[in-house]
Amino acid sequence: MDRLNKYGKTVFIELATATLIFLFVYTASSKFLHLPAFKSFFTKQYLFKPHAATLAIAIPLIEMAVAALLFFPASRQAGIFSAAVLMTIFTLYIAVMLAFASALPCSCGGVIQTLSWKWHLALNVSITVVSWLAFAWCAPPKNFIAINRSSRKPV
Amino acid sequence: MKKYALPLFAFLLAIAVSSFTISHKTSGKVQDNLYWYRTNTAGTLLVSSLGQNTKAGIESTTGCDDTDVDFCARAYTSPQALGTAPIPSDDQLMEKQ
Repeated sequence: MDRLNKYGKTVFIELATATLIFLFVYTASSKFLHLPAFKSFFTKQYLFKPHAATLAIAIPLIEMAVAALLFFPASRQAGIFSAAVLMTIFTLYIAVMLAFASALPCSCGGVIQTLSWKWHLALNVSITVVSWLAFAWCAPPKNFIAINRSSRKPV
Repeated sequence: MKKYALPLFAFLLAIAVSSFTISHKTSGKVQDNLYWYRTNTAGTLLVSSLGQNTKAGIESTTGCDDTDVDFCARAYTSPQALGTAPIPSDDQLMEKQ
């Protein structure tokens, strides 16, 4: 049962990692390919306007960097953590915009742009939950062997 | 190598889907040589003609992209008379907000 549980968690982490890689690479490349439109999204917002050019480049670059961390098994745990943090920030932003903003501009990449804001929020919440769950189940790499003191067996 | 299979598949799929989306988006009607007009900030009046141009051309010559106003310029497929801006219809292809 325990082995099955461990196998299930491993499969979940693998699938979550692949989903996050797909999501970040897809949205980042869409943003890069529509860079002027993505930049203009920031110029229309008072808070982000002074840093529009920097943000327009930095966000897809960060997304690509997170995808790279997720790609390699050695850095996967850091990648899942970064993805979870990034998704939490994006989700909070959407929630705040839905609650307080009168006009809702969307600069999301690719087909995500066609979603309504409520569906976008639902999608983001789901991915955020999956990311944090994957992080919780993603064990740190073991570089030691623990032996039970009484049974003398590895644990 | 096996442990890279799924991440690699996800990466390649993302690139492929992204390319497909891009080509789909750009394969529509090309917004070239529309008749551009500068509008008032409410977008209700056509103030002056900016001639036939592309959206990129208008952005570079008018600086509309850097303005705070709600409306800056509008484009139509056919020439319009200055004054009241026609009600948005199929004729109006683009609003530069």
